[in-house]
Amino acid sequence: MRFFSGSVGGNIEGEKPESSFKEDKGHSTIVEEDIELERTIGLAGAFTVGIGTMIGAGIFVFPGIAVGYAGPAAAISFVIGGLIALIVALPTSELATAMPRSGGGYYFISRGMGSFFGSMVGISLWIGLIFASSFYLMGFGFYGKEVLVDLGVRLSVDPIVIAILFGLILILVSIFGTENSAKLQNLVVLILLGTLAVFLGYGSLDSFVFLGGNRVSEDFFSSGFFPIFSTAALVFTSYLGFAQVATIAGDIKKPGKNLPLAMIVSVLVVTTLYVLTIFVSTSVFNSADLFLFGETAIIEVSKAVLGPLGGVVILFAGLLATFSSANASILASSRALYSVSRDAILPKKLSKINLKYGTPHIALILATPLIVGLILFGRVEILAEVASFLHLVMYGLMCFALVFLRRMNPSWYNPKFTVPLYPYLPILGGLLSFSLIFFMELLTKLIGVTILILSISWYITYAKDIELKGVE
Amino acid sequence: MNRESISVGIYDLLSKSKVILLGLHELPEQTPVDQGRMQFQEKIKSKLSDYSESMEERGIQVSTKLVFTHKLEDTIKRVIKEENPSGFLILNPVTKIEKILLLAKTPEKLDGLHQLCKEMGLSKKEFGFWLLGKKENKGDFLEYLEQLENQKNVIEKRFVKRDKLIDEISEKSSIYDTIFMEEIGERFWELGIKLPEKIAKSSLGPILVIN
Repeated sequence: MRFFSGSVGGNIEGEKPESSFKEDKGHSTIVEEDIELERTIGLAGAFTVGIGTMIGAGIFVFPGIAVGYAGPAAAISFVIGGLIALIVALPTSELATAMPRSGGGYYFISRGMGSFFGSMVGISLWIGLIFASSFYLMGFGFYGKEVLVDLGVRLSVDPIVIAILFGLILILVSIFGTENSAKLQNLVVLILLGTLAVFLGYGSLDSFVFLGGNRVSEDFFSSGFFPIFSTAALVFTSYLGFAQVATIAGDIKKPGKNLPLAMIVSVLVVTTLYVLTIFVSTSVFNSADLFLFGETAIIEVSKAVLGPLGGVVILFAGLLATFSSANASILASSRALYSVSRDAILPKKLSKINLKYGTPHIALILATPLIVGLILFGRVEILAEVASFLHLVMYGLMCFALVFLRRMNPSWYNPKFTVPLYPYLPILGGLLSFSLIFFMELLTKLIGVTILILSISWYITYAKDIELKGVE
Repeated sequence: MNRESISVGIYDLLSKSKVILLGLHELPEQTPVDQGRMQFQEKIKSKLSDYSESMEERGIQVSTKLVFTHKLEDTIKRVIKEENPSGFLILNPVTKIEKILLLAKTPEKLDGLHQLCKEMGLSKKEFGFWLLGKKENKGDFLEYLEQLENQKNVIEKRFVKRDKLIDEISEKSSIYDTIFMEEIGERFWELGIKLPEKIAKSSLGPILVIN
């Protein structure tokens, strides 16, 4: 049975939100009369979505930059990021098990706090994912350039050119549809985890001089305390992936169990990897050197730890990781657009699927000039921070949406997982998410606030009659 | 059903059966199934409704089910587990059912398929009996075939090695209008799904895989 519990209204084109489906008892499908939506992603698939999105930045792009700003204490910046991600992942898990539908944060906020906040988050999240995609593609560009240098190509190719070319290829492949893309993603994540386990395991032992390595001696807090927090704000992009698991909640089998597990475990795994990466990096090089190595500093670290072969392995791992994160973010951006347009906050035609390939071609085409433009803008750190800014706004509001929903207590709100220490933990998660924004660069804040204002303006002019608060 | 219309022979085949009409729409993994549902449900529901009405007009009992999925085979397996049907029909065009190929891995199962045909009102059709398996079963099969010697409507008896099955079907089954086959494990299941694609050129009719 289709159902709404509230007035929903429509947009200026007269489109109304799509109705939701009921969950079946076995949680293998979502059902409505004789229509079923098959849930096809298991725990491993959900886990690799989280890891696959996150692993690109924290290890393969940020270490050099982060250590350059915060010194060896950049490890604390990653711990801060991981803690905030974990504190947000717990409320997200409750919301996702109560509303295991496609849309993630946007869906929770629009149902908990209404269409004003929902629209602001939904539209800005789509733009945030465009920023994130551009950032990961830039990362890929840097690794691509290193590969060309390693192969002895003498041409001086700008990483921006590589990023744009690869971005266009990735979007084209996404439009024509990729068979077994989930299996490929699983394989990529498995290869990356294996490679990093060997590299970081050996590097950590080496750092303790067990294996005869030389340890660089540098004051842990050499750059002071404030940079620890500003660096935490910068590197938070490394934690954006866990919430992508919630955006595919509609396709995940047994969401009550698999969603919280995939989100929490993926945050714990990547936090451990990030901290170990900083630890190993600062053991073999000092902060100034790592900063000079820039986005591909980890290659130099691996050469120092494992020799030239280690450098080549990590170089290709970097390519794989940035590819994986860019691909996941581009696909997530089209899903984000779909979630908002199914509620008629954006025109529904934006989420149309290609008849031949079954892919959301309009959303992907729409993202293309934005991604190219942002890559040409070329400021890696700003791209990362704006993506983080927009995600942190969503995370903060998600935590408060949980409190709103608990107080509203609609009949359909029956989460399988409940957040511990309610209401303190979600409120803390919300406050921490917002407070991290204050440590970002001024330009980031200006761009972020502008995007939020534009999103709100769109809602007011196009979809202000739509009411989603408390609607299932 | 791959969008084709139901051919006349199918109504004949199912005239005494209860049918669940399963509409499947497969989407790439990157596209949410609900997104596919939003765009295609009305069109597919209307098509299913047309099929179902045309079957009901011919006295066949029909219920419908429509699934949007990323994994076609997983969905078919799940639906078969939930509904526990006697078999599932892979549609191919057929105008008239006159010759039926029965395919199983034991003589008992072959006999069961033969009985099922009788229950479906198809006892007067002509039959081919193919036993699938290893050399050890061949003796049992020959014994079973002796019992069939007196039946007039047996047109062929063949022992087929399991690893040669696809080739044998592609090359030698085109004289049949339909195949009734036993569902025996993963390999056979895969065969059931992939068969129509592999032997489409040999103009083979519908395939009923017995659960």
